[in-house]
Amino acid sequence: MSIITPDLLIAFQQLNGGNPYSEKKTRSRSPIHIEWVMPNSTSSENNVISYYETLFQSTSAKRSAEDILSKYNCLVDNWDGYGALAPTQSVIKNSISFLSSLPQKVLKNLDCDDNITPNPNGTLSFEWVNEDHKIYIEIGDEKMNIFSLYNDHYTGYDGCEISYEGVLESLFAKFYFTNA
Amino acid sequence: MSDPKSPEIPSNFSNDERIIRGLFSMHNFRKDFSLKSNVFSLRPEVDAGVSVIRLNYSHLNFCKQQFKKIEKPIVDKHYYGMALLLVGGILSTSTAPVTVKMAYTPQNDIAAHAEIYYFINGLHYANHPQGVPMPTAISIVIDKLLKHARSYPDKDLNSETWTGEDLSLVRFP
Repeated sequence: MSIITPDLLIAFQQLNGGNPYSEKKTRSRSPIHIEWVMPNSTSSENNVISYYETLFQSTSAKRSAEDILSKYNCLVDNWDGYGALAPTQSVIKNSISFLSSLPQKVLKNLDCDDNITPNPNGTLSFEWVNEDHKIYIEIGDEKMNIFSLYNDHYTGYDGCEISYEGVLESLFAKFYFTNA
Repeated sequence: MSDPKSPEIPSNFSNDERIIRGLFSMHNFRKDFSLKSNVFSLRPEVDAGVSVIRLNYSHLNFCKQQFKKIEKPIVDKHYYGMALLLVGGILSTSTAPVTVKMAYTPQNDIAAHAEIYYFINGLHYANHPQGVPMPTAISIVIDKLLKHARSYPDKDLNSETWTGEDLSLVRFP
């Protein structure tokens, strides 16, 4: 029996294309029996599955955020011909972390070509738009700025912590509620 | 081609004057070629505004040639087209505490060069630090600017002249 720790699990997922469930197929064909063991060694199968799912979701979300942002990570300085700076590594890192933390519903509505914008000052902007509502987020090295537009009324939030919780959570609740 | 400038380009702007902004990145466009907010964002850590050309005192062919000249030194960066605005539309986006102004800033090779400036509480906003989000008051004004701007991707990039619609005749509502 092999014991898989979270670190090994991530490494194993990377080898298996990121899907922990693909491991089951490998396991069934393999003479080696692998049992997933939680770090605190709980024997509850439900807990193990729940642990898989959480880890899979967060790893998968991070990977999809990395994919979404990959083309912005490749920009070089002066990408707009007017002296724009490429997104800083902190901005990319913050954006990956931010996107990974978004609920699936919110992330799904983000078109990576249309709704992500690199800015000349090295930040990245993200926007969600429906008929009468817009949420705009600009992520920087340390903070993010947000504005919302609802029924032609703008509201701005400067110097926010880079987090979905708080202002954004309530803005998105309104965004989806009014769009329901 | 030299700038077909009038010897007397006024320093003041009329509301129906047409303004051109050259576009050099596909990241300035959405898939439907509408413009993104970065077209009117400020460069970091410089005193300059948003660089534009006064079309009424220039010519589309000259604008295109200037833009194509700019693209050459940039590796893998190309001229893609132009954005068109009316001065009246630009100025109308002022929203407290931000005021949007036009400044005539001729350059040696572009006599009709101008800049769009943003002022916050009467102070010229410039030298924005790298990696710091733009104040939302300015982002909101830029969002409004986009509604007044029209996007004209160049469908004939290899031509030395502008072969698209005559932007000096385009009607604005």
